[in-house]
Amino acid sequence: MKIFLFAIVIITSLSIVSCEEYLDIQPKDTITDKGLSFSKNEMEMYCNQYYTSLPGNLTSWVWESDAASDNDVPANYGWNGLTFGTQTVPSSGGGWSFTQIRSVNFFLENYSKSAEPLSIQQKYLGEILFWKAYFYFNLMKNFGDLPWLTKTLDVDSPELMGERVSRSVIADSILSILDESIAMLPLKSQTDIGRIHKDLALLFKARVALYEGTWEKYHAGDAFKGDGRDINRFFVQAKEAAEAVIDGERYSLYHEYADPALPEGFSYWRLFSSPSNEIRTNPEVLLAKEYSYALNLVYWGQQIRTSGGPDGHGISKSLVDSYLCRDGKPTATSSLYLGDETLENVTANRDPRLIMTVLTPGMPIKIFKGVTDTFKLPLLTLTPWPNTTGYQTYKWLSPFIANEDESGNFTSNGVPLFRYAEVLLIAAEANAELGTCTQTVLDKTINELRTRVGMPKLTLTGQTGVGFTDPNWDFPSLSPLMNEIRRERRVELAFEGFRTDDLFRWAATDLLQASRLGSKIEQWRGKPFSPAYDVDEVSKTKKNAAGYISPYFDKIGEGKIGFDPTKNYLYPLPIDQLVLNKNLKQNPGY
Amino acid sequence: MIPGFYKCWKSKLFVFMRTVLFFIVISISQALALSSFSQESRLNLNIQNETILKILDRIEDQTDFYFMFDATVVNLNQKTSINCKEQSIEEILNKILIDHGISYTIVDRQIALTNANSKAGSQQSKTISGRVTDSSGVPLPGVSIVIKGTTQGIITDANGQYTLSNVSPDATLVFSFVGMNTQEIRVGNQSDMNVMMEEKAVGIEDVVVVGYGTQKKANLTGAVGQVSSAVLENRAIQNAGQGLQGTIANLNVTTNPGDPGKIGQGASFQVRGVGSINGGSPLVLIDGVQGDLNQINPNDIDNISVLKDAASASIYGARASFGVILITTKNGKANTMTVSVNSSVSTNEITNYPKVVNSLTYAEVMNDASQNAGIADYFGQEQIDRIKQYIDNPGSIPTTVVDPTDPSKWSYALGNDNINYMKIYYKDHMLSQKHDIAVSGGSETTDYRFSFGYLDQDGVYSFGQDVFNRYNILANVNSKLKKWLSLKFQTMFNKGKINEPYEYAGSMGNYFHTAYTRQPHWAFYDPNGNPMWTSQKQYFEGARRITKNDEIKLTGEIIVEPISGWKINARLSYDKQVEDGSAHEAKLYAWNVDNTPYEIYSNSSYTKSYSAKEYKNFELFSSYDKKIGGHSFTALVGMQAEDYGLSSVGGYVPYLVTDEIPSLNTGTGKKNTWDDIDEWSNAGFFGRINYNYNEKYLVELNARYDATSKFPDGKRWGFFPSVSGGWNISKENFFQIDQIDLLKLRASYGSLGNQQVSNYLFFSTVPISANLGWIIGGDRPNYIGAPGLVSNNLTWETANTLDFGLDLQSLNNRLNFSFDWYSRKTIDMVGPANAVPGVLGTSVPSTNNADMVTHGFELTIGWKDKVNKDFSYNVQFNLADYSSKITKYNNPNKLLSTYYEGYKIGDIWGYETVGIIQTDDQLENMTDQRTYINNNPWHKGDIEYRNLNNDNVISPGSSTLDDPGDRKVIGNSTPRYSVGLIFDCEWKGFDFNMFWQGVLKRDVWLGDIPFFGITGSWTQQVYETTTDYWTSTNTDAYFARPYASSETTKNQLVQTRFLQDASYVRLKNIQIGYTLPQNIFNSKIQKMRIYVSGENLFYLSGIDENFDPERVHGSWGVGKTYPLLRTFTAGVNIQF
Repeated sequence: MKIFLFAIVIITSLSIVSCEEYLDIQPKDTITDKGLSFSKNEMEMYCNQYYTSLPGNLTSWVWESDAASDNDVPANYGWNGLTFGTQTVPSSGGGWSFTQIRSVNFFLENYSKSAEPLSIQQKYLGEILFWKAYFYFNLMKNFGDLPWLTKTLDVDSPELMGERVSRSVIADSILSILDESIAMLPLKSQTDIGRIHKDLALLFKARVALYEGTWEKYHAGDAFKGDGRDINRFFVQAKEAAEAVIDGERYSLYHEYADPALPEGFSYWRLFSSPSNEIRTNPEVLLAKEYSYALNLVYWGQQIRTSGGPDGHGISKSLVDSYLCRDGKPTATSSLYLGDETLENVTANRDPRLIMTVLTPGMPIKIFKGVTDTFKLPLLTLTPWPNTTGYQTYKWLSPFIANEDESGNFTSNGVPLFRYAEVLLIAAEANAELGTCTQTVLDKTINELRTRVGMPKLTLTGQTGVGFTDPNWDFPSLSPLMNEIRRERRVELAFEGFRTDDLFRWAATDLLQASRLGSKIEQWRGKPFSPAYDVDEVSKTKKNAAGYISPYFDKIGEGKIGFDPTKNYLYPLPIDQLVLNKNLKQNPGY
Repeated sequence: MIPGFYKCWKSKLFVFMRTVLFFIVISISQALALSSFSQESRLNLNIQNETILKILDRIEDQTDFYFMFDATVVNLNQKTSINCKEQSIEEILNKILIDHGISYTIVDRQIALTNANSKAGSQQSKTISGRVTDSSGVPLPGVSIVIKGTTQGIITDANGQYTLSNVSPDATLVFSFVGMNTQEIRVGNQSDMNVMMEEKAVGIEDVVVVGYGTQKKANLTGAVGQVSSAVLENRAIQNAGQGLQGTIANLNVTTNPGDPGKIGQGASFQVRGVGSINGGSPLVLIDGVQGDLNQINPNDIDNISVLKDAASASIYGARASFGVILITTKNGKANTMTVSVNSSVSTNEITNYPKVVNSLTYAEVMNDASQNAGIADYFGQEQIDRIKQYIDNPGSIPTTVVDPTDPSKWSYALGNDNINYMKIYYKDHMLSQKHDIAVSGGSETTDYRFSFGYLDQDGVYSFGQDVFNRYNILANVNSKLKKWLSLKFQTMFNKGKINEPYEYAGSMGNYFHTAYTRQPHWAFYDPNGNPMWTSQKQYFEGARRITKNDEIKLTGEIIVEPISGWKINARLSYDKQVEDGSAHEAKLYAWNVDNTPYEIYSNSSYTKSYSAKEYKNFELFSSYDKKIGGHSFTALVGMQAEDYGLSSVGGYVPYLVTDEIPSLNTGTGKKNTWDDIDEWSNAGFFGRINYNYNEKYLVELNARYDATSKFPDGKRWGFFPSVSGGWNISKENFFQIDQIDLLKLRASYGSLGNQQVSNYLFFSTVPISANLGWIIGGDRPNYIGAPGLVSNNLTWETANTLDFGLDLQSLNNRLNFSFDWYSRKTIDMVGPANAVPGVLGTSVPSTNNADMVTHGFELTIGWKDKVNKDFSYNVQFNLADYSSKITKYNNPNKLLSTYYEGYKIGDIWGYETVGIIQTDDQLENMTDQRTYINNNPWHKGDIEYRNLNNDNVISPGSSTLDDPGDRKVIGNSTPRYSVGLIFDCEWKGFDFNMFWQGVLKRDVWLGDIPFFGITGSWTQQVYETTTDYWTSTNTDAYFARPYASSETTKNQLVQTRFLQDASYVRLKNIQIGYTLPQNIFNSKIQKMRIYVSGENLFYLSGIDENFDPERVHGSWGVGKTYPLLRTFTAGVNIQF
């Protein structure tokens, strides 16, 4: 019997060698926060996570980039809460998110653990600082004043109950960490294409500085103004950063493209419909999003050809009208202008960028296995994603179907996100704001862009004259020079996601409220649409007095939209945040 | 070893181990004093001047023997004395019996006493022979047959046969066997006497399987439900889980969410309702070891017990907070050898198709809906004409026309086909077959049972066949090596394979979603005879997913019984499950007008995954039974250590060289690999003490001290005690009602922990991912994310259950009644954290901060009777209910979008419908519905909602409990009052079984395309039901005016009018069998039964006719589920 007793004890002991060890189980397929050593690999992988925060999926990019602005007419009234004035105060969420800020701060707090040489640490530190600036800039555009966080918080940190600081201070802070970032980042590398680099950070700094400078200048009289300190400091920084890129001479405008299937001078168009391997070596591109069939990263690009965009979109009359005629004069004064009765007329004798942006009959839209389909009619009757205006997008549409995708649905074209043209436009605008925009400046910037597409140069007459007067200038109270610089920006950067931000920073209330119109409706009568387009039926509610398609005509004010300049320049803070932190104040007007 | 062990456990286990040691020492000293009991062992007796009866009682107490006698024949009241040491049973019996004219026969553990003086009848003695079987026809070896009033007798052999010579025709034969009713049959002029022994009626002799042992049903103090394997036998079910539905009160069985009922998919279980808002399921133990009820062969199951209350389950501690299901598998019987074969073939069909309309009706309804919506007609006159012509004369025109926007393609939208996609997508009939063979038997010391099972089932998909098959092997061997030492060994092997369409990773919606979203005029085949891409036929035929599951489980157990009543069990189990999965998406084609193919899916790909789960379990427990006078004690102590590890790897590659050989090697795109490791371990100590006094007053104490790796050091140990008691009133002297055999009151209270949470909650991990959605340096790099905040305070959820029960057996145990009422409070559930300002930048870790209360009851009534020799029957009815309410939840604003304090689980908030707007007057005078519900104007034929809060608009308010607008709780989706009814009877070899199951109260909100048909989304459906919609000529319609635009949603808000009654009763199974008479076979075949059976034959429900009440929610929305099948089965059971 004693043997039993002994056996039991032995078995029991063997079965549990050590109980707490037995119960201590660590994750084996992932790293814990304490296990991060900030090696080169880990720092690089940590930086990688932010790249997908950049835009670049054409599905949303082409249509949604400018959908809130006067370049676009979404089928749904209220597409964007701010510009349509339908924005309500959300109970929670609403974009008030500091997840990415916490994430970059985690790196900034802990990277000093790294045993890597300083040069390696700095490369990634420079990247992290760029991302911090990038995320803060987005938050500032949406909400204005913000809390500035320098470390990760815990559930009981006093910073949770902090107040917002003025946007001017936030902007200074963004620019200051961008300076640090620029100092540490390497130049664009031929091996690391796709990563953030010094010139990109410079361009971004110029973008932020110009944004904030114009915002504070043009909102100086309203509730969204900054703290009122010297506004010119932003324009100086924008000018200097942009000129640093120009003077670096590492980038130039792309103008080498030629294709027998297309009219001459289609380099501008090609920028937006190039295969990824071409875009990565393009001299104009600072950063592009690349796609690849082999890497299984493609997008539904042919949707641009086969639909009007998510829920329906169309290019606005306003954008089409803003293109100059080939003689460098506006439609209102040029003898070359044929009027807008038809698509053919409205695009004839215009700045060539117009037919590279708006589809015109006869342009190739699909070249596949030797067969070329050309554009005939806009998709006005397509359900559920129609074209809304008769002006359909050609910029971003690539007719060349890649061999990898016989279905013709997907594409691996690259998407340029930061390009040299923007640097030139910022340099011109910042100089103009500072009053230092000479003909020399124009020739180095605006006229470079015009030369590429074969347009006459912009010539300065006097301090700010341009040699002609356009009765339809968007900003009648500003100088002709400023109007033309802004026109150039609108035309060059159409559907690249700039227009909404521009209207907001320029406080362009009139443009934001203006009717969103399309083409002349009569031209579509009797055309072989399938299903048929009943001009008379549509005209009952969706045509204005002058005969233009006006999708919101039956909504408010004959097609005008409900942007409210007393509040819609910023988003509201969600209610729960105001309740949780009594020191937070709601944005004006909500 | 010992110092290490001691040091490690010292703080927590000192007291516990001291108790164990004490127990062991005491027991061993008793063992040494008493030596042993067995037949070979020796007895010590010293009794003076006592009746023989008392002396025999003492022998029964000390040994396993028991005595059988007829008191009218043998006189045991004679007094005698005995004083012996170390004597065998024979020696003792010789001393006390022979001198008093009593003779005896020892058969195994039974000792039959007879009158030594009586003589067999003198006249014409003859020889009687025959066979003894149990009620199912299986031969019974070891039955004792004694000529009444004599010692003459015999025992049946291994085949149940006996021959008894020298029997007088006046004699009466007494057939007796443990657990069976003794039968006395007069010989008369018979010479062949085949006897069927019957098990004693359900009653006080019943033994119930409980945690780590068994318990006499009469002595049970907890809430335990038990059924025998009879409920599963011969049913056309895929897995045991399905068969248990409705058989045990408050064991709620539902088919898994997602794609319920999909072949190869198991059922999920719940005991007594929702245990926690975080989910959780009962612990399933197969022969004491954690297992999967969906993998085991239903034919291997002998018995199922469900431990429902905390007192019965708490011996299993931290994994048992949602109840325990104990499965016992079949074992062999000593001295027999039986081969049994069960074979059946079934044909399956879908119980319920949604009835869709033809393409012409579809076109007319959609045009109505378009006009209502103020948009262009869906169908032009030209297309309608074609549709009409096609219906009248299908061959006369092609199914569709060329797409005017792309002349190289056929148009699907302009088609004029007439397809019932519901029918075309599902097969009419599917076959399945099931075969089992088992060999069982044993010798005196060893019994064994080996079984092999095979199941093969075809699924319902018409395109891309879905097939499931499963093999099960189970071997149980039990051996009694010594009188004090037994070994048990079990090997279980399960192998399953599901081969099904892959559905293109769900990008097209699952199979059912696709079936629901086709429109009848869409051409299925283009005019050239190729399938249109919209038919999606090629999608389901072009991609396959094959999932193979292998499981092997080994369990070895040593049982040592040093002295009578003291057992020590050591059990070790090892379980390994391997899942081998692959999924292939092929390139797909559709055809141009010129009959050339074009690619519609070019991204062919292959995914492979392989995972191994390992589970190890060690248990050591010891029990001791002791009876002193009227006091009976049972004590149990034990420990358990178990750990689990999952290790899996997977790979994906796009762009295959060829679709003929899908493999990771044949892919040309960027390969992606991943792995996953997931582990936990538990350790626990448990103990139980049972005490009863004369089986009248019953008390049981349970406790378990458990630890888990899922909580951090310092938070990981939990102590879970319980207590239960019973009062067997029918044993009281004052209780004089003869008709009542048992009347017992029970009460129990206990607490259980729930550790069913994720494994690594208290670690802050850095998520690592591959294939960033961005290309850097020509590749998609890996990336890591920021670690989040974790809680260091997370610990057990605790469920405290109070249970009151009443058991009654009456009318000679024919009537059986049991009732339990319970209340369970689940506290410290892991709930949402307190909100903190968003500048925190990460989610706030959850904490233990939510409570819930569940109330319910269970009622079981059974009646079992044998009317005469030929006819017996059995009825069992059960009824169960539960409902749960949140009593604490972190939702300070009482938002209706999540739980709030006072929320009853399952409550449905909605509007009250006044009715359909019929008059202009009504339209003008009703409350403004436009502001909040829909910006479009309202018309006659639309729904009028009731203004419940008496403001001037119909609105959802602020969606809080205090301001719900015009909404109220309009129903509850908790299944209430679940019922099960089993009826079976036997008549002259025929048997009949019938099984009903149902839920008597349940509301569901259906909505979506399967209910409303026209929902304004991109595709819409029209059913026969939904053609009953409002028009100026059909004002009495059920459905409101439909709009072929999003405007239609204004009439489809959650509301009383369209709330569905999902209660049902269903005839789950009917079975008619016939056992062929013995004499038509040669003796090799012992039993042969043929049967036919029907599953899911018929149901009654108030739910919309397009739905099955048991198949409401699918992963792609309501109704989009694997259909329930009606099954007809023919089968045979043979034993030889």
